[in-house]
Amino acid sequence: MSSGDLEGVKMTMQAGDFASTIDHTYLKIHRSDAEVKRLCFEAAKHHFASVAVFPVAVPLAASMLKGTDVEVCVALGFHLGAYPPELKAFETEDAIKRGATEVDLVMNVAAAKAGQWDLLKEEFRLFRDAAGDAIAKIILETCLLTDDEKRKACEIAVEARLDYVKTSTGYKDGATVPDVKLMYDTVSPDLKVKASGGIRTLDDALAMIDAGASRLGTSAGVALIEAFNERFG
Amino acid sequence: MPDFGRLKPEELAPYVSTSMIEADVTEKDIAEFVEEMSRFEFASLAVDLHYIELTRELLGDSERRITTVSSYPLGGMTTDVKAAQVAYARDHGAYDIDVSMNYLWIKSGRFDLVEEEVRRIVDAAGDLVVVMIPQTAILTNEEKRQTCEALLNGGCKTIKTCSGFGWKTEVEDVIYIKRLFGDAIEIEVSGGVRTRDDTVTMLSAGAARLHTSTPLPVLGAA
Repeated sequence: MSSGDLEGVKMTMQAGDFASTIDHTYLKIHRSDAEVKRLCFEAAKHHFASVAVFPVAVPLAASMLKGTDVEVCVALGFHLGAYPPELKAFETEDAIKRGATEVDLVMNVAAAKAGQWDLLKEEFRLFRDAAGDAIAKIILETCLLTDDEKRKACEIAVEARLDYVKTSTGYKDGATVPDVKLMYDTVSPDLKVKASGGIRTLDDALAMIDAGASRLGTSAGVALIEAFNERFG
Repeated sequence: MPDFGRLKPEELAPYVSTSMIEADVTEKDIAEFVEEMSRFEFASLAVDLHYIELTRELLGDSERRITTVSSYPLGGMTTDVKAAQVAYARDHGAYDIDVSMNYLWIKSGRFDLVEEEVRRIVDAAGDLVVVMIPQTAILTNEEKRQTCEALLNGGCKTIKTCSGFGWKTEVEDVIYIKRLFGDAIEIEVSGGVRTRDDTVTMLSAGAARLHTSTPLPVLGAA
């Protein structure tokens, strides 16, 4: 996509609005506190929406981000999501207890593939209950689903009153514009959409926003905001 | 030690665990897997936590063991969550559980915390055998040594070298750990075992078991 297609985005969006779409993400195997700290400094400096880490790094991120406007986002169920709803609910409560304010959970993808919709309803319901006031985002892993399966999972997420449907873990193929549009059309205005996985360039990011994403999960946040300022600043 | 190079596929199978672990594995896939794998006496069938019960049911009277996984494959979960997953596996009929570790602690030299986590997991496991995953592919030799020591101190006697999903085990890692710890630690190899030659090499180097999602080429059976 050329930047010319994104004139509408350019006209309406300020740098601050753009920064507040970014979940500054670090979901490789966690190897050092320094990496988590760097992420937190960068997120605070640029006023990103959140820092997204694994549960083991939540206490550090929470203490670093205290007093900033950056949320503590935790990645749950990574990256296979293949265990029972009760364990996912426990994992959600555990992460919130440690300081997470936003929870991104990998759904039971197999249940969607097999049409076990009641199982998915149960999972989303327990996830909502366990998340409480925290922002609850359910990860569909769209690259593994048919359009009908994506739509159905989105409808169940609306029923369960989750906050976001999210495309991908980043461990397989990532977000696509058609998927984000499909999800936005299915859940809007009740829920929002988070695009994640493979968002490397400003054009990627703006295309996702244009397609309906309110949040972007990416590890390229700093480069993206710099590119935004360079192009529109 | 047997001359592994001479073993027939059916004689190698008891050294091999075969796995069906992925996000989109359905109940139907598990049923086909159990059926297909009944052809050989594998060491175990490895499935995700939510399929332990189904697998046990499908195995019927067979005494085939079930392996499952915790915090897998990235190791980012807290000890409390790992312990809850381990307790679930224990209560639903798994034989052993492969647990990814907190690599943040290993990489920052916090082996006291590593040991404490292992102790809690072993406590939660009861009769379930705990297999910790040091992820040798991302560790230095010194980190491998210290991790194995912490595991032994915490009450875990079996390791699975890597989680797979792109992390590969080198035969040098098996030889190194075997040389340092002898029979005190049982070594299971996972990650990058694709052919019968790989299998023979790893077992001859001292591995007790191999994990694979492609068992037929690993056994040398077409």
